[in-house]
Amino acid sequence: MADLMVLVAHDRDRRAFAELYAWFAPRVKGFLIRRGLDAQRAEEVTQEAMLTVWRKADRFDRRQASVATWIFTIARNRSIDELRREKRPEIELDDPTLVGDGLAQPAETAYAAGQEAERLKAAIGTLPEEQARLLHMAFFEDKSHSAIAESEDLPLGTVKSRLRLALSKLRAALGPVH
Amino acid sequence: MEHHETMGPQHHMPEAWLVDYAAGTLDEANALLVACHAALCPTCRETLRLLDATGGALLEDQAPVALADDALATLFARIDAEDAAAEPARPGHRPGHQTVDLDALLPAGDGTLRLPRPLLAYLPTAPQDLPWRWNGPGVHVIDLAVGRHPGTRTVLMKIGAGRAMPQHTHKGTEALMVLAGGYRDESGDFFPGDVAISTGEVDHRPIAHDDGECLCLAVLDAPISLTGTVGRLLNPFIRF
Ligand SMILES: [Zn+2]
Ligand SMILES: [Zn+2]
Repeated sequence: MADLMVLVAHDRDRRAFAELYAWFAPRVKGFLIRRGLDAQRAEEVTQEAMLTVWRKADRFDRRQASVATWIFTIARNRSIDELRREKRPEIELDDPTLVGDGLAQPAETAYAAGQEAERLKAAIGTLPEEQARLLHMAFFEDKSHSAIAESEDLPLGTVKSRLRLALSKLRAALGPVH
Repeated sequence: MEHHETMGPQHHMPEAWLVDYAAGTLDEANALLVACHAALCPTCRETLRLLDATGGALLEDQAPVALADDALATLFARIDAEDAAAEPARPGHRPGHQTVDLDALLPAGDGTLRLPRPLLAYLPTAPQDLPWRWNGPGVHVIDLAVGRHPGTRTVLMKIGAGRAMPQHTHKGTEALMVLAGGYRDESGDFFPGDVAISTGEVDHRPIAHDDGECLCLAVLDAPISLTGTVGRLLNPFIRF
């Protein structure tokens, strides 16, 4: 996938883009529908997100994120604009006030982000059901942790501690890349 | 009052807020606070990177929903049309970012002071011209227009060196981050990047450190209420 992105960025390669599109566009559309857009609007927003993928391909940095992660962030940001008409204050890695490295953990090889993605997927698969469910609700159902607590009828503290547990497991799964 | 420079902040964003930020469900004001904290905190920045990657992994797992048959062709046609309409070259600078000298903001304290970039887009004026409003002895504030969440206030707050906020508690949640200088209250010392989340259970009297003004960014979803004896008299006048 990352190789395809490089072809899109450097060579404006339409066949490479078509491959990315075939895999990601239907998933982005599914994601946007679950977040609450109707099918038609979801399709339009997917097109806009994929247009961004084409236009900003040179911003993709394979050391930092997998293609799926990068496209997720684009689709997420579009959905914030779409659902709430709010902007998203972004962390900028070239901010001169940044404390520490821009890349918090510089990947050791160009392929590390891709490997990380595989390990992360496996780790998500082994999360206890109640933790995985919270992650899905947070990412797919446009629900904040307090909204989740309300709709699941759980104490806020329980939601927080489950999210914390889930995160520590995912963190452990990545560990240092060696 | 040692400042633990290399370690980054000691008081972090709650992880549930980081999840909300990464998932895109946090309102804009609190998201601004997260982005500012993350600029100063390598630890939370790494957690956010992990969470973005989680979003990517979940996206790949998402059940696909087919687009129109000609969706890709339509997109390429749109790309061609846009390319053909000779686009004027875009200037390199990004809208909303001010390139003023931020060191002018606080005359006292650290000469290398800079504000996290996500905040700059929300300042109503250049930092040295900010229209500070008196809000009690030694305390000045400015309301920032951030987001559309009803009832949420975003406030830039400046406490003079060694000066105290009036004793108060909170009717809702107050999320506060130190941008420059530092303060102390019943729960400890807070330095740049440190976050304090206070609710109705917290009754405190933050006092700026003696060595300079303390600049904070605060997001409140309900007013505070003054609890000290003098404070109760001031309640009608101090708008928080
Ligand atoms: Zn932190
Ligand atoms: Zn307070």
